[in-house]
Amino acid sequence: MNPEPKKQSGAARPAFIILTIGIVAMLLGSLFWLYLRPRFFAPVQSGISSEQALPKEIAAVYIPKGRPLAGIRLTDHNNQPFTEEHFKGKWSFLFFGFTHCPDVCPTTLLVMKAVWARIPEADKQAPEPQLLFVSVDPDRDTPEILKPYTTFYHPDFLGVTAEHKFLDILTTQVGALYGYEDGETEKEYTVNHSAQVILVDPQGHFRAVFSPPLQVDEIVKTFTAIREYHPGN
Amino acid sequence: MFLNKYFSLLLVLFVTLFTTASIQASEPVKITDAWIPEAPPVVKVMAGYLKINNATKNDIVITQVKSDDFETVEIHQTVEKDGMARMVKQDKLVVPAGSEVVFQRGGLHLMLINKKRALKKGDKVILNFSVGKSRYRVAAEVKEAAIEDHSHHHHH
Repeated sequence: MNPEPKKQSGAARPAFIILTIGIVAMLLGSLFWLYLRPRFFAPVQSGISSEQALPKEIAAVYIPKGRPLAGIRLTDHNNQPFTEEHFKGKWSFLFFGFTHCPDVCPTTLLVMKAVWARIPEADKQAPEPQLLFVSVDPDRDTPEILKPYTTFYHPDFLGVTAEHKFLDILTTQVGALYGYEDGETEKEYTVNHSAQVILVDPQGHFRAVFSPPLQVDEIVKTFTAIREYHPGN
Repeated sequence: MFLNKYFSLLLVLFVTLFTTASIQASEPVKITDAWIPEAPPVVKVMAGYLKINNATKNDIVITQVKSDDFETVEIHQTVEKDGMARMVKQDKLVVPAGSEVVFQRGGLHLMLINKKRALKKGDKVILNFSVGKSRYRVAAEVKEAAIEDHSHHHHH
């Protein structure tokens, strides 16, 4: 959309020269941005490079090379094992919480429910992502409680949990934290936990973090951008 | 003598009228918009959201909240710091003179602990607030919980 400078007969006026230099600089700048920049800054991801740039204003912290998740030993709400193999072939959103959490966890699950309603808009061909609600309160959140809890928010959401030693294998790899705080009685303890939503790519690599305040529209747009940008999405 | 009595009566009448009027006009404390997000039936702990408006000239202190439908009711503040969420119990809650405190998602909320009966959409839960020596009885409706996707309203 750069306007062509009009030819002027006679001596060039200073304003015209400055305008010309400006336009040339803009053209060179655009050329650099469109053509050369991807070559200089193209992310190298196991030999595949993407020509499309990831927008800068995405509402997540993106991990360019990703981080492969290993040693995952969880149990899902159907009492089935959930390992790193279950991350393969689809995008996964992970949220850490507990069912005795009345405010933050339902709010996040409702945000993700709203996100789920909008994701197919972007690409109907892409495999559906999965949402894992990871309970960091395995003593109270048995699969029998996790299943009705998680599916209340969306029938496709999956509750998972594990003994602490296995939970910690996952949380340390994605930088999630949790801890317990005493309540009025021994049973009434509360759980402090990371409120971020973690994104794992279809190769099972930890790929991005969404931090609160979680906004439906931001998550949808950012996820769509990351998925389009990701090689072999 | 008669005049004196007459004046006293008038004064009493006047004072009574004035006080009654001022009480009615200021409607000191209002607790409104109380609701409880519908939760999975398996859940024993629920949240409550509402507004407390203090139109009086004095600060008020909520010292206790009770409900026959729950074992315990506590006031909690969700605090999110460095990506960590924790709930901080408030032993009392001050609503400053002439101001409103709003209980909402991700902030102040009632923590309704150990429900005594099944609660579903449309049910009403009576909450009893103790404000100093006064008691306020508020009906909170259990409503379907949903997050509005604001983008649909503003951008499309």
